[in-house]
Amino acid sequence: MEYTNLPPPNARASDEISQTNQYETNPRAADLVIIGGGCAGMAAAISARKNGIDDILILEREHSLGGVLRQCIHNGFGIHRFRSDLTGTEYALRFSEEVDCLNILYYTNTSVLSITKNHTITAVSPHYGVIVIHAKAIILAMGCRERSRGALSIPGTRPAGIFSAGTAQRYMNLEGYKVGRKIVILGSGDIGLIMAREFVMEGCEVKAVVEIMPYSSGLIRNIQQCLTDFDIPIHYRTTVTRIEGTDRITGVWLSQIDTANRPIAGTERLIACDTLVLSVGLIPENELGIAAGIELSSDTGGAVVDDSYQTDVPGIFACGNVLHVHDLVDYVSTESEAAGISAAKYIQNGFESYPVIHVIAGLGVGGIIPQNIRLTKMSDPVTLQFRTKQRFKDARIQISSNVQPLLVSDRKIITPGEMCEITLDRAKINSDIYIDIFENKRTDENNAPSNYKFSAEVIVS
Amino acid sequence: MLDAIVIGSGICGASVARFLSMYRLKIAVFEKDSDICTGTSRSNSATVHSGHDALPGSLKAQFNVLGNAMFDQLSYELSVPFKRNGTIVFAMNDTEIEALHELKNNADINGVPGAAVLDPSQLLYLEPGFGQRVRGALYAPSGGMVCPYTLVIHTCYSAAINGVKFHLNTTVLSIEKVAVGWTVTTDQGVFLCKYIFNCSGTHSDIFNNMVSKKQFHIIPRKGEHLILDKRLSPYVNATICQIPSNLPGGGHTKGMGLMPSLAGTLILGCPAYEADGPDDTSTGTGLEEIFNYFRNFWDCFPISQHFPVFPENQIIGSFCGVRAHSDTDDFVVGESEDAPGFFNAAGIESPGLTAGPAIGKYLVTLAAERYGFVKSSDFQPCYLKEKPFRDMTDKERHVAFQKDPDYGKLVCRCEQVTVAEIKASIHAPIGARDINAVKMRVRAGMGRCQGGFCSPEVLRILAEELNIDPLTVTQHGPHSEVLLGRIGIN
Amino acid sequence: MIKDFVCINCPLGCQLTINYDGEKILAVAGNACPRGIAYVKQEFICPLRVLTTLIRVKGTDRPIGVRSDKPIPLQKLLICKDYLNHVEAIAPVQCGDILVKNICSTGANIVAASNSESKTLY
Repeated sequence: MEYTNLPPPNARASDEISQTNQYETNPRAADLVIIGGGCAGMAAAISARKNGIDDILILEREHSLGGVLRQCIHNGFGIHRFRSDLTGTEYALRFSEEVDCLNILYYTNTSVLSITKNHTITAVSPHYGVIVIHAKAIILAMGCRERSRGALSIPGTRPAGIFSAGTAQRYMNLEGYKVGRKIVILGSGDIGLIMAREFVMEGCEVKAVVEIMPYSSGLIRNIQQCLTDFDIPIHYRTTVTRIEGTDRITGVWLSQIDTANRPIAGTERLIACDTLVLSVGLIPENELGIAAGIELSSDTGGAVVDDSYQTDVPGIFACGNVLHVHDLVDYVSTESEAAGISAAKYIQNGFESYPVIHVIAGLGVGGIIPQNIRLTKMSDPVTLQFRTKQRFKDARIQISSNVQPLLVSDRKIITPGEMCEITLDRAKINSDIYIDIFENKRTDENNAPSNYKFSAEVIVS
Repeated sequence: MLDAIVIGSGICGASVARFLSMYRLKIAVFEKDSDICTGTSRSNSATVHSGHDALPGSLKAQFNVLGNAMFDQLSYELSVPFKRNGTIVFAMNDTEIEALHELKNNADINGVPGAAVLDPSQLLYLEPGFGQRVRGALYAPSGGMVCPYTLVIHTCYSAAINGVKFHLNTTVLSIEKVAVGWTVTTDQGVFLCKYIFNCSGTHSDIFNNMVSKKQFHIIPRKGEHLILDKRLSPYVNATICQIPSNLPGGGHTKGMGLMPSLAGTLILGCPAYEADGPDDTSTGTGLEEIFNYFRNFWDCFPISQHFPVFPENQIIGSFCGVRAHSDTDDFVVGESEDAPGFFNAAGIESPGLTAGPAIGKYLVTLAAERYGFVKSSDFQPCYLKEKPFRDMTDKERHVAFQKDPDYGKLVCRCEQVTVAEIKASIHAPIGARDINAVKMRVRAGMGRCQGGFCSPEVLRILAEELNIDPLTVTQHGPHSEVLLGRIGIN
Repeated sequence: MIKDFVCINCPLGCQLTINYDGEKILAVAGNACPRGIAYVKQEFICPLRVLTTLIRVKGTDRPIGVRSDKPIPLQKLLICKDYLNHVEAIAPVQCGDILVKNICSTGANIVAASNSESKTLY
């Protein structure tokens, strides 16, 4: 199904939007424009509609809604949200069906070219040409892109057969092609692990998964069900140091690396393969935001937002992977629903100004969402999400304000690959808050911690 | 029988072919690779050199300056992005400053317009932001940047429009002198011709040495470059490099520098060292050299005001070019002394891209005079191409869409390339036949995601437009198929 | 005797350790919820996995994702996939359609996990 409430693609005669000579004098107005029709955009749209906004337009550059989940045929989605073990496609379908049920308008095959701080969106569509929309509010939901071989500066030749995991997934799951037969995967992020299993299922040989860190950046259960189940070896503290092959890749050189991430001489070996798949990181796709002057955080790669998911530009909100890279789509949906509610309130009530406090990352803490919290004098909870910069065992997360602890939370293990979530009582927040992580060595589960301190020192084993 | 065979479709081969096509001749270009412009002319720093660093009296100096002066007209005629943004060569100590003055002398002898040595305050007035360690610079306002592959591709298109036949995937195996001229044996057949123009880059010694006793030897030299994100381009104006006197490995290069490409990306490079072979374009130790240099000297460059530390996370790609260094230490340009009818454009390393058009013009004018070529009255000098979508205003975009709805669908969103442009590149005078060929013509896949999002679409369009099985679409010619099978079948 | 497992029920991926004697599990440690105990009991005897893969669709040029409606023995995954390689669904297919009943005698059905798409994409 392509789009609702619009004339079919080829019927341009009676098309009120594309009075084709006058697109610039006849720009469209909309209450809410959502850029991106993946899980974030769809959840935000549904939530905004349920909170009273009728005039919503989703702009999606692919030919149907769903975003990256269209190409996720594996299960593990929706366990939290739907108490059900769904594939990515099934999860996305629940949302796209609801979008259709609610008659929310969306344009597909439509790419946004620019946005401005005053909420003007310029896009191009194969049915309407260049369209200009003035929106009361905008939600950014563009997702992210993958780091490429080029960004890693891997030396060697530039043959055919090198793919990022998402591109390989797209070729395979959306178009039905095998990208290779003897495959090496660089990076043990979830996408790489999932593709390892898919490759084996399709009769390909996965020679190895190679990971630069001493642990995987993906979920532990994926190591089990994607690698261990299929006897695929994973080499930690190893990287690809050179690519060989003129026309098609013929092999990669692997080396072990030391703690300074430099190859250890004498450990290099050549692995013959015809395909290299890269799963080496996701980057929020914020080029539209940068051009519009929206403030970004270098820790998350996404916009700086407050607890209502509003960026530093009033009326422009962000959610999903474009805001920060998520592990579970269930949390993308929750976050995006909240953004949808905030956008609805903004449209209905206008910009409400509040004093704001900052959330500051202490040692070991990476990007935090939200970076700012509005002092609204309400008592609803505030959820903080962040990633750590390193692995912590027997960790204690401490949230403090004015050197007074607000909350502590103990975790057996925290890795950078899994997002942490902490919920705070908003009533307790009245000044900047700090997130610190301590590794505390406990001799017994029941005893008080032995060398736990309130200082900012972190004991890392 | 052909009148002229041109071996190679880089800047020299393309320029020769185009100038030849001004005459009534039957001309063929033989290119061993599956696309035009796949050698040195594609992978370089895109600089149009002013000519200050060429040895006075050399052919390099002569053709550099002549070539540089041709770029304004050429870029207009052939719709090629070109800009005279100026070149700044900076020095950090007294020895280097002396070397700057030598360069200025060279510039004067070579006929380079407007070159001047600047002291720090003059330099900062010209381009604020140079670091404290910079003690002076040479400024050459006639230096510029061009899109090298667009230049060569459009030059080839112009030649093709004027009747030149391009034979791709055609490797010359041997050349023999015969009464009427030459027999050229290739892997695609045997050809007879009167004149040969040897523009074969790192292989140019092979062909010369088949026909002439005046032999020379090509030492292939390679050099890597880094490509940085467009986000940095607003902060770079002139092309800036450090004078190379103190770099390890000595003076093979023009110095390490920062080149603002016309696409908006920043090019960093480049070292020069011996390659493993004439076609060795693999990146290797040179990458380390670039990293080491910029980690140490980033503060010298004005961009460090906005990005205080060398922004390694803004690297989107790297490439390596291989150039033909002749053991004669200069270009080999002219008709072979003992093999009349055989013309060389050989040993073309830097400033080859700048010099190429002038070399082409010179060789063809020489041959025309000597052998009485007759001018054609049908020659069309221009290859005028529509602005790319990404450079259009929104109004122009909408007008383009009205004429062709394929302008309404973006394929490469990093570089804003539409379906219309990709299809046009496939149907161009020498159309794209593989993923890389599309990339070189319209930039799809050159952006920050490096083809991650667009390459499946480009592949699909190629298969559709060429009416071929998607499994046969290649990355860059035979044996480089992108896909190796279909799912569900073992 | 001791053996380690990773529970795959949810993203937590608890690392479980069992103490067993022969075929009997004596103790389980490391689970954050009761489902972990059920998981490891099953995993010890016969590991089960949900099968998710692709199937070709006649009438379109794109595959669709399919899944087993319940977990099947891990050692039968590739056998079932091989069976599916010789199967084609017929368009149009709706998410939830049962495509293969009781695949390879596992008791699980293979159902479509998305809708088939028509040939024209844009």
